[in-house]
Amino acid sequence: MSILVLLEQRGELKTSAFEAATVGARVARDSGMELNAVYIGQALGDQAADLAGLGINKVYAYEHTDLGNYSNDAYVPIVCDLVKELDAKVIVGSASALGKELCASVAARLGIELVQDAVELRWDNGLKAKKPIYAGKVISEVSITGTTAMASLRPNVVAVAREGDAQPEIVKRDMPKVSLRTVLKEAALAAAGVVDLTEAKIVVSGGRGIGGPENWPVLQELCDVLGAALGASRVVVDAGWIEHSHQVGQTGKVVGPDLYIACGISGAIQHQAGMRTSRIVVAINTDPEAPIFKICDYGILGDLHEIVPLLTEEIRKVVAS
Amino acid sequence: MKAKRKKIEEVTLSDLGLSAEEVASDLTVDSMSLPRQERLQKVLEGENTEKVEQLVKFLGEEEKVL
Repeated sequence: MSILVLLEQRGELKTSAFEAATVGARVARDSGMELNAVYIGQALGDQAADLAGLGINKVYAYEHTDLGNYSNDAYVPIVCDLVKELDAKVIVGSASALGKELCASVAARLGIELVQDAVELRWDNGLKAKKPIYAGKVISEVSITGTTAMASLRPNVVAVAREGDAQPEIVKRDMPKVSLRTVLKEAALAAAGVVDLTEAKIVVSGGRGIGGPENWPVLQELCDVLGAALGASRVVVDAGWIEHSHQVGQTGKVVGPDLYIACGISGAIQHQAGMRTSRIVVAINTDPEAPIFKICDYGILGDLHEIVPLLTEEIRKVVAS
Repeated sequence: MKAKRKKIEEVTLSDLGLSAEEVASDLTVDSMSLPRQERLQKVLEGENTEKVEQLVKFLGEEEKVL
């Protein structure tokens, strides 16, 4: 019996892969099961060193140029076969867009229970998970009583923890004989920029209060100084001021950064569903009645067009010093 | 209206060749709770420059997020 962690990559291993491994290690410790991981991609290479100290016993590496980009046709049978081969009783993946698709496909293929978008996983005579429901208004705690349990972990909800520097054994595997019905020819980077919104440690988001698309540079400058990702509320996405890839909320992306700065965002419940798990929330808004002030840690009542440039300069000074 | 008068046929699991064990979920909801809301809700006072200075100080020195 063992635990299998799905190491998500997009060329490089994603932070969510290390987070899933961290949770997997805790479950392994409490259950007494062995922790293994699977890498599916073009080449693990030097990134194997980054997997040290995570408590992983073996990493099964399926490396091939055809596996560089996510392919449901290829990834699902690989994971399913490995689960059976290792007699994995717990499978942990990432609750990214691709991770959720992979987990759902694997769970359906194997006929096992799956908890998507978990914010907490633990072992107590079985796998127990906490996950937000009803747009984050309620936290549901569930137990999986079946013989095999699967969960996808929301990015940024656990800190990566390492103990020692023990390297996992890398077990190279051949590309399985699968028929790829779809082949990704090219992936163009979305306009969300180089910082992945769902994995960003700092997110600066703009809402209707920015006044128009011509004012995004004000927020982008703050993003650049902070190394933050740029988010947006649904209202401004619907207005066509910015692409949907930036949208944070129930119908957009779910983020959980260390710092979330909401600029000119009222804080509707649908928006809260996408940022509620942020560690620190800062609100900048002219409306003292805006709901965002009820869920923020620090609020500034004022015009973002005056506040944000001042904030950018002040942070630039701090960074420079 | 035709749909309203349509007879609703009820089928049992055994009619479908299934048993209760086969359709039982392996997932149990143990509890539901309201999310922890411990936000400071600290609205900063003063001139804009003062508010910003306070905010950067809090974020840097207390919250360690800068």
